[in-house]
Amino acid sequence: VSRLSEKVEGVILQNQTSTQTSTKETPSVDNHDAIAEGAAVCNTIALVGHPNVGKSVFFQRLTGQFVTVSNYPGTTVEITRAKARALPGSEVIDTPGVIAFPPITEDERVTARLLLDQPLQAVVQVGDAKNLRRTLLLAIQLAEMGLPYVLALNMMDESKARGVVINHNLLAEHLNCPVIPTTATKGQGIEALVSALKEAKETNFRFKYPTEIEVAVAEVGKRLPAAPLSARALALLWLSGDQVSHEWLEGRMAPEAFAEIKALRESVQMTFVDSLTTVIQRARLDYVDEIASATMFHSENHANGFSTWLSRLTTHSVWGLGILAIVLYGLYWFVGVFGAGLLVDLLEEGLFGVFINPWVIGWVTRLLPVPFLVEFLVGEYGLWTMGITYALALILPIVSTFFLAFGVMEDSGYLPRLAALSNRMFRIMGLNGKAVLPMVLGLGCVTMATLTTRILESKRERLLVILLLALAVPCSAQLGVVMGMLAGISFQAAMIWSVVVLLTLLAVGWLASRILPGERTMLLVDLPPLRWPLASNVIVKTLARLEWYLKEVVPLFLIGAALMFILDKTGLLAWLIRVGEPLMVSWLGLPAQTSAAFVMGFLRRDFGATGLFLMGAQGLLTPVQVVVAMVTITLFVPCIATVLMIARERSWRTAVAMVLVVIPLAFLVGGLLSRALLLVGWSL
Amino acid sequence: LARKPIRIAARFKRYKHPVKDDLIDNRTNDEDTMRKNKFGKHIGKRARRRKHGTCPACYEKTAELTLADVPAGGRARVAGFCRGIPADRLAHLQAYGLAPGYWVRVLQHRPVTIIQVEHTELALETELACEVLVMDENG
Repeated sequence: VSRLSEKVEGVILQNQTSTQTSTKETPSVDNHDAIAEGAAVCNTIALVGHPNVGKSVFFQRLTGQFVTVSNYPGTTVEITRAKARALPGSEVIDTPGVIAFPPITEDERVTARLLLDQPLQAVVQVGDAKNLRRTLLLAIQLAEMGLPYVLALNMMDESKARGVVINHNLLAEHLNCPVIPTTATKGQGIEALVSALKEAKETNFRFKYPTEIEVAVAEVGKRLPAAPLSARALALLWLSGDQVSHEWLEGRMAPEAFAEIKALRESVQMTFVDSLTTVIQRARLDYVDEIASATMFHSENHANGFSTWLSRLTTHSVWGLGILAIVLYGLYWFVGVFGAGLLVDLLEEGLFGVFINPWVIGWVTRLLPVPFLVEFLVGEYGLWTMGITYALALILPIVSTFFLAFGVMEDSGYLPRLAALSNRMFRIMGLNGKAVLPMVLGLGCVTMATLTTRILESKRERLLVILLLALAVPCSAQLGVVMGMLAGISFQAAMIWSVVVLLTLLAVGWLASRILPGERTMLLVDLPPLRWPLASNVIVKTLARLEWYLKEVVPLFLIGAALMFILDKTGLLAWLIRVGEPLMVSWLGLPAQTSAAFVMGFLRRDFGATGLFLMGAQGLLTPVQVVVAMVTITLFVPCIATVLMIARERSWRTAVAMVLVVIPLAFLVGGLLSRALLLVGWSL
Repeated sequence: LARKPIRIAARFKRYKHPVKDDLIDNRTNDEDTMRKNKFGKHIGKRARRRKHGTCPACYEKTAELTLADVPAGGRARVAGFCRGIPADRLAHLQAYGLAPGYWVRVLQHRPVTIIQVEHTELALETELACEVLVMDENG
């Protein structure tokens, strides 16, 4: 040990002499004080913490603004800002959850970037009281940052129920910061938190790392540029091999100075057998264990018997599949049979078909003497008769039922359990079970799910999941239309559709995972406790989603209807139907008019599916044709919003490449299915 | 017939850890104890393959107990990690509470290993569980 410390001192001295000139070029450590002064006048409070600890609930309580709250890790993948009600002049930021620094996934990096780029008034760590050790590991990292810092020990109700007692006053002494016990869902402790925030001061928490690390931190810290967080915390972050701080420093330091600190890190690394990340983390873990043992007391474990029993069942290799089948059948019944069948019939044929549409058509015909305009508004491809009727009478009941069912699933904590159940299936596609989360969210909206791929660990996985989402995951509106149509034929038809789409998903995933370079990461996912969903939260969430959905869907449906009207009037639609005839009639075995539905599908897949739905309702399609058309439109191009999101998250090249892969594939699978069904002689 | 797989397994040359040679020799020479692990529970097929072959994660031969060997319902203390484990994966596991000296309870092994650390349940692939070395309650 003495030889090692001599060696490291020698290396550091050597580096000191060689870097004396370059330090003059870079801002000195004193600049941190200037930043700290700037931070004192800034007015942003960041909510930071592990995934699924209730940061978004705090955000709602502090700002009164709605953000989606669920019971699975990875609900928040972007930063949300709003003004704090109880702290005039201050703004609160909700951040994606972070397990520890250095961050691993893309959503965790969003939080790390925020801490580096944004001067903050204070940091509030929302921690899970029942998992104190995990909470403390992040707590000491945040406390080291030298910012005004408050620890909110949340879920005190659950921790009490499990027999965990924490001496938060003693913990506050150890961490040298305010520690507030809270139960955010019930609003307990929020006032105390606001008071603590008003008086929050910069922490001077410091604990000692191994000597070699301490020397290296001091040396690196001297050379670092000014940052919103302390030089010590930044140096530790960078020494731990953090990619975000690496990029941040590379962009702000002179190349020579950056090369020097890199050389310094390498030389310090030489003194340890384990990586610096491991050495630093081990020191923290030892300290965490010390604090946790002193401040936490366990009485008997009072875990909820029924919840634990059900939790075991949902991840059981046999019973878990049974429960999954029940959940899927329930979803099929609620969305497909009840939503897309009963509610759509009531709205489309009843309310719109009998009352609203004849009334609107009557008024428009009477008020507008120009036949062209009448047709534009209430004709076959009219803005009202097509755009608004599709959006309100067909899509609205379907997405409402889906979002309601989905909200219940989200809040119960069932979704992460699917990751454990489906891991083997995702292995085939070069992924791990964690990929099930964006896939299932894709059933709600593929655009949002594309954003949720940030929770995955590698770029390769994100790209694979985005491809599969764009190809074979139908969004709620489309799924509802598909279910509604197939439920109208038979359960067997729904099964054929499911199996074909699933097989395509597996085959494309398998092939793509072999083409894309890189290795698969192994599954490691947090399973939150199963909880009874709160009706108020599910309803508020559903309403918020419906509002967002209508804001996106109605304008697009109106544009679609206008586009179809123009195509129809200019004769382009007839030309497109003629051009598409060989593909539709000869290859897919569908009527020539289905070309129009596929043209509509370019705008939104569900818009196209709705067109097919109406053709089916008019009796223009046979059962075989319905199944083929539904499979093809499901695999057809993702909607415009998704393409834009893919371009934003990845690049335009990726987005275009995906569209070019997806379209021929959809027609290939559709044609093959058509032939297979005819060969087998399947009929109603 | 029942003993056949064990005889086949016994043919594999066992890697001897330099520190724990005595312990391993005592255990493996007896066919009856070989079917049971330190916890006195029957070792499953996957665990046997792990014990007599190489670690599926880092391809390194090791004879120590891992999380994958702890039977469902068993409790163990994390002793360390496989030598070949990448630093970022190690940091990730430790951040979740799978750190040396911490106690974990294994809840199930199939379809994936599910463990309880403090009051959190973690699902991890069995290959990953093979990278976590453990010791039983007696150390």
